[in-house]
Amino acid sequence: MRADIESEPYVDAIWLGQNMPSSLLPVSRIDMHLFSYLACIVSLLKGNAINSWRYRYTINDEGFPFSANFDEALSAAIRGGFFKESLAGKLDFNQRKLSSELEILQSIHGPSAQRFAHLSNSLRAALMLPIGQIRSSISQPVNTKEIYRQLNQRRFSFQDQDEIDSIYNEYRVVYEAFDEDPGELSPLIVWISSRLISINKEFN
Amino acid sequence: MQIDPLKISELYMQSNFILAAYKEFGSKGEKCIGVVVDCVRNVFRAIPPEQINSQVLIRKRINDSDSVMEERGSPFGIDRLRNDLIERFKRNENVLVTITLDGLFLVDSSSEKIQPKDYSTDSIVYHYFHMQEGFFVGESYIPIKKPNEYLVSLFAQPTYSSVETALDRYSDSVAPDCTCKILEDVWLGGKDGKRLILSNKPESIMRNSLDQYLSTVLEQATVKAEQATDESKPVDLRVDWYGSRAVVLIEVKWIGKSVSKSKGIKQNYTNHTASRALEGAYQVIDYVKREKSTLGEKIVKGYLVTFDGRRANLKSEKDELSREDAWHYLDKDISLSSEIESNDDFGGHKRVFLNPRASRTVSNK
Repeated sequence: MRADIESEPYVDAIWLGQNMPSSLLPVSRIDMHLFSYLACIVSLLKGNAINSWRYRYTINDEGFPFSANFDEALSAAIRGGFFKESLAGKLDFNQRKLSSELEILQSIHGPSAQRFAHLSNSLRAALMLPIGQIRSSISQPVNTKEIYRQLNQRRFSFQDQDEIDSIYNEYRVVYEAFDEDPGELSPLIVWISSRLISINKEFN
Repeated sequence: MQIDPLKISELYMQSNFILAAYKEFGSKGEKCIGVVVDCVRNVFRAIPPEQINSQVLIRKRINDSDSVMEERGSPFGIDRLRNDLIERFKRNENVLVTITLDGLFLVDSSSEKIQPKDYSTDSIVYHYFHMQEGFFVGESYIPIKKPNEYLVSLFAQPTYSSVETALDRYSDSVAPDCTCKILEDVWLGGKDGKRLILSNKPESIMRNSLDQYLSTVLEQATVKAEQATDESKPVDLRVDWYGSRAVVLIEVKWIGKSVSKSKGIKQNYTNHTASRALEGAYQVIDYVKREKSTLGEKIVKGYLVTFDGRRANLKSEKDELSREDAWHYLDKDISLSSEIESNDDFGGHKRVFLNPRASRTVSNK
């Protein structure tokens, strides 16, 4: 099964399942997409190229981030018995199986400490802020003109370098507002929250 | 998108317990904070914080090796923790939860007050007591500044599956006394003024407040403020649920008196009466019809939310109103026609009465 699944989305899905904080449970598939999307953003904010994440996202008509590759990985994890999906669309995680699967994956693909750090910060952000607010904040386009052009239209996220540069510049404004090294989590939380305020202002 | 630097420092204050943990303990501090917050959230899911009348302390050692050395007792999992705490809180015991190396829990409790600083030198300690919460990190205490007063705890955000329940809570607890930060600016003179006259064009503030509230509390939903894509005015808010055909459109109206741009010395006001609600109801029904005609597969319902800032006998912001006049419209519901109420596209009307400031009214004459 592992041979025909792209590795990065699958590893991310398995890692998220294994490390999901219990207070975020139960999670849905679309929540998992959000956590993985936020981790991708964290990677961009750390200056990594978009291609290094290895899979892309769209923002669907309803404003939810979605990745076809990641969704296939979730389905594979369900088929493999690592996740169980209820009729209500919520995921249950088999921790014992996930733990050994992750070990095997790391032995095949090598350790991914940096990637896992991004996923970890994504989950920590979800502990500190309401998921609905995170979704509202990070699913909006960065460019004001784009807001008007792309409302209610499906679009690829981070399609061009200008968009990536804009989001990086937003983050730098936040990061530089701290007097000294603020670590990883504080600037991320403040950036997400300040984006939400800026979005509300754009719509006035 | 322009990030407002002035807002950053305010937002920073809401997360400065994370910063404190990082400054004191480095990246281990950030990791530890995450573990503690996860436990806090679990506890408050089992027992809402407003029902707890004693101390809650949740502690995690920074260095796992310390945990192995010092912890005794039989730690247990999250399900047993919830049940154990429910019983202790019923007895009003002050509780200390220690998170072990393996992510299990040990619980101590006492009728005497527990001193958090006894535990915070090598740990991060969350502390909650009577609606006040914060973190002890090393020698420091960092109180948590909540983004909105309607939250009892930053880590106990309510969530609702239905719009009706969310709107009920909004009109009962969030909006009336402007406990939502966005809504503070809806009054001329701000939240601490008399709250008699609304600010100029208050509808965008009201819409943003409702937008942010619904974004926070609705499960699996996105909330969008609509923009004009053609010459007609779009509905104010749109709610979509992932994987569902349901769509809710919300039209926001206000009634009362607002300040309008003055010409010369004389202050002008805009007055809106209850008939505006009727207008809003017809509008939202029209939006639903248009939406259904373009998105046939969706199940669309329209709701009207009317922010009611009416006051009796009010002429200008200089007036000193009696309590009777200030609260005259508190229970004056707005009747919509039976034609509207029975329309299948109309989900309902929520009137949100905005309270005047009691201390700025005068005794009845």
